[in-house]
Amino acid sequence: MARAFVRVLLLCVVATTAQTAGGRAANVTTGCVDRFDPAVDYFPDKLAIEDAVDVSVEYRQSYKVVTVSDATEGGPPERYVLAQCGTPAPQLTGDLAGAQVVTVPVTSFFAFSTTHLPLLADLDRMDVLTGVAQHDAVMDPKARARIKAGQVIEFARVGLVIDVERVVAAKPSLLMATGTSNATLSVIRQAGVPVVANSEWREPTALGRAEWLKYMALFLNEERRAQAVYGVMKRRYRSLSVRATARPVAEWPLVMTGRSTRGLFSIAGGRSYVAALIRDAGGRYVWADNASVGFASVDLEAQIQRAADADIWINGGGWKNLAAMTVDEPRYAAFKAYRQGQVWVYERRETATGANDYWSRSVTRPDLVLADLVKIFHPTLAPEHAFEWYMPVPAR
Amino acid sequence: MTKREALTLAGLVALVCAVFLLSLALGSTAIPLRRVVMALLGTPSDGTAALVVTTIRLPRSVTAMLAGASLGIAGLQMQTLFRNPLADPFALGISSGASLGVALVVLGSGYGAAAAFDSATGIRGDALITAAAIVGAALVLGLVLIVSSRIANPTTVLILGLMFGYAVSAVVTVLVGASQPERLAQWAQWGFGSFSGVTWQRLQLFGPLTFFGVLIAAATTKQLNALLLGESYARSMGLAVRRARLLTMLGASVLGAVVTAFCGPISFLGIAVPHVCRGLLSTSDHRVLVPAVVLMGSAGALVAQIVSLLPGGAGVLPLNAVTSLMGAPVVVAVLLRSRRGAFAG
Amino acid sequence: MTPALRTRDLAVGYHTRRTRRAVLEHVNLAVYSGELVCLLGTNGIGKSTLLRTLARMQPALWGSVELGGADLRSITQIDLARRLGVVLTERVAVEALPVRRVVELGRYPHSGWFGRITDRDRMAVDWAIDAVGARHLADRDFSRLSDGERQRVMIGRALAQEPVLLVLDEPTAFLDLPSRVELVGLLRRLTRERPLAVVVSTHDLELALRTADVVWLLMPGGELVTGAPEDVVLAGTLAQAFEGRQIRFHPEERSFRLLTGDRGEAVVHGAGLRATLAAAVLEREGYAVSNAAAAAALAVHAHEAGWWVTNDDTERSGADFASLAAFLRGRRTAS
Repeated sequence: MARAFVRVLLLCVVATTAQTAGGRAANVTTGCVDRFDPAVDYFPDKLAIEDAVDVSVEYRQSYKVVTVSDATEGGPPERYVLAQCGTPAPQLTGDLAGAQVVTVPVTSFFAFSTTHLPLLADLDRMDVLTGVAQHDAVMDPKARARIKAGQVIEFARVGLVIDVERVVAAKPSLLMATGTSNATLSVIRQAGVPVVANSEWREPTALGRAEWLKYMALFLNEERRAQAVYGVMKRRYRSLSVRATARPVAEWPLVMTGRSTRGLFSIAGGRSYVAALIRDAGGRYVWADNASVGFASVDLEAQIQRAADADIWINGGGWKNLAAMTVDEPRYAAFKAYRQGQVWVYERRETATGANDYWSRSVTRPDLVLADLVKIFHPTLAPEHAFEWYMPVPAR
Repeated sequence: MTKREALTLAGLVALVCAVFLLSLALGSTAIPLRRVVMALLGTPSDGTAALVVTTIRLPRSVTAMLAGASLGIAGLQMQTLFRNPLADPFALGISSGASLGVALVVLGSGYGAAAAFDSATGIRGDALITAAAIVGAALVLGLVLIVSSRIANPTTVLILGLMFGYAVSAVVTVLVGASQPERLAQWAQWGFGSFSGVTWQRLQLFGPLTFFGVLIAAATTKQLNALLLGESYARSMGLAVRRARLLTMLGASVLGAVVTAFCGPISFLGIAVPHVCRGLLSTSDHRVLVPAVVLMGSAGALVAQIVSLLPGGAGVLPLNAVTSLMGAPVVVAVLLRSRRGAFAG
Repeated sequence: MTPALRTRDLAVGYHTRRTRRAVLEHVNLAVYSGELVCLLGTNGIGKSTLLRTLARMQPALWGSVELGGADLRSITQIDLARRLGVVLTERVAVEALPVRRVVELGRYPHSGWFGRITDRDRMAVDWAIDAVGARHLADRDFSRLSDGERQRVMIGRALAQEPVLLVLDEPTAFLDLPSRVELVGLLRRLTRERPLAVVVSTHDLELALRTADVVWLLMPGGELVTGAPEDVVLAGTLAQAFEGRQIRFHPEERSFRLLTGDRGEAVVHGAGLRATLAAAVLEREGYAVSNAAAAAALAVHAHEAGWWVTNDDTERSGADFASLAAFLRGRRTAS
């Protein structure tokens, strides 16, 4: 009996020692550690970036080094040091000198773009949200609930110009912006509020964009959950894409994008995530050779020459019906896709006031976007999928 | 008309024809000349070449000619009326007024009103922008004319127009500052100016408006000549000065407003073309200048259109920028050549 | 005969915000074809106001103006231009127009739409150019002419309107003396050679008195005196209108002299031009020259070879007037 007791005691001691001596079970998702041991790895849950090209992370026991490229337009990559709360500030030398330090996990979070909110939603960590640019632009229900409860302030109400004083007065533990070239952001940084960039919108693939979920997770120490969520989504995406691209090339429809204003057609670039989605859904993009990573403007004439015979037209918008399209721009009739009524827009969930959750949700759910596109390009492949965002422009 | 003047005008006619044909043959995509001619002659052919030539290039070139002619003659009228070499068709705040109308519809607060208007009347998109531009320009013009009806001195009227223009532009800047970034792109695109937006349908309105506008303006040739000697002398020779002044200002401004509403703001043609013609023909006689500015304006607009397509497949240069880049050095060259200074009065 | 221009109880002036201020009232004038009328008066007295009212460039306060029998208020602007031509003081600046085109502008009330010129118009223009003696200037650039030539062309332009009356507001203001004389001479000739009436305001008093058929004199106080120049001179009104402390009008010469005399009297012996010129020198040096000489008066003798003076004990002589003047000045410093 006494020997059993001693064994249990020994087990407990070993277990406790194991905990305190280099082996942690999981990342600390709330609060700080109370004791620092330089031998301990405080981030046993790590994540790996697979598809995103503009972000990478390196783990160093008590802090993480995150590198974001394209933080400023054409500028050098930015490095952020994410130090575990409760551990001493790391010595920053060499190319880490002067890097932005963020204490993780963050407790209060200011999101400049509404595209940052689904990242919180998918990690189920909307509780850290304390600031948004504009209340009215937020559509996520959990975020709206927090706004209604008065827990979220708005800090860029007029024309998306950041109210510096409000931000500095609220002292959030992190402000995430779409880029850091804005001069106001440097002022905020100097006032002690950490500012980081989120350049997911520059990713050339839809999966890459979605993977920025992991970027958000880094600040919350939620690596485990992020890996899980992303992994599930990615598997869905890949399996569907494989089935779609397995179709014979002759069945792949020719696809065009965009809309025309005053003789200028704005299209998705050939190296943009839209082009990647089209390819992954088993479609041929008319501008696949275009070099732009974002959007591009082409003369209407060029678009007609390229896309007059396209089968499917996606990602235009703002049209009441097909007839109304040619009232504005009669030359739309030159496109076969128009004449055959194959004009698809992502306005299915658009509300009367013009708000559309495609902009926020589609970023982290490219599998759903892909499913919509596969259903358009190869209707027989996804009979059970109901359109999430895409709908055809009605005839009248 | 002297022989030299007649020859020069004939040369201008030839220039317009040549540039017109060139503008049909050139575009952002390469179409062999043979196919262009086939498309113009209406011979059936396959492919999109005919469609491109007839629905994109042809209406664009016609629009350019009409717009250029309108701006040329309106600029001449304003310069003679105000005895000021810097006057242009937008001197009475037209451009700012049109910008205000478009800004209200495209940016900020007007966006909701635009949607409501659309569901009520079905006018949306480009047609709405055009209508808003006309309304805005008309409002500012009306205001300037009412206030200046009491004023005898033309220079004072010019300054009034300028001040109104600045005030309205300030309002537009506030709207721009308060608007969402996505809408700003659309607003900026309007500001570049473009002849490509006027389709055959819209030409049904734009065409007669500008054509008759130019004819009516041409009918003021005699009055403009009388004004060369100043208002006192003009009156003594039989000109009803106040009425002529009002009608000329109105006519020129309406032409400017129509062009801005359909094509966006097109700068510099209105100022430069009259100066170039004066330099080329060495005369102030409007009986020669009027046909000259109409022809030179058309040619200038067509050339600007062609130049704006230089980047080829990589995009389009903003028309406004091209007219300014073309116009400024030309005016400087003309002024330096004449050596005697800019202008009478 | 109907006068080319007639006013009935005309009042001219200007409107201020609340009232009307009359500069001249009860003006009753008539101008007949073939007459050259000169409007005289000191600055600011209302000459321009009157002329502008006659030419309908500003409204009359009350009363009426008739042009060839027709009330000014009832004719259209164009009709008025067919009967009345105006030339102003201001210098016109027009670039790049030949003289012929400038004169052609005068066909405004006659030419067609777009300013079309018929043969009839061309004839009128040629006639106008000849009338003002500008044939040799016809193809030259207007802006390159001298001021005198330009005003002549402007008169030609007014003539091209084929008016019955020409009104000119100080047309000679910026011209040099020969040009002024030429211009007035031109006006004189025009009234003599054709059925034209001319009303011109001018500061060239002496020229006006010599060439005008009728003089309209605006007196300080608003009174308008009209008549032949000699009658006006005789009545002494001219002297009244223009005399000041330093000038005096001399009716015989119909000209003005500066008053400088305070050095006493002088008498000139001699005849002809030399005597007159000697008197002029004496006057300039401040002597009042008269025929009735007091005993103490300075006596100057003028003759073919020069002059000589005796006074008390001094006797002086000289060959030219400069020495006479020097002598007189020396006398001043001496005494």
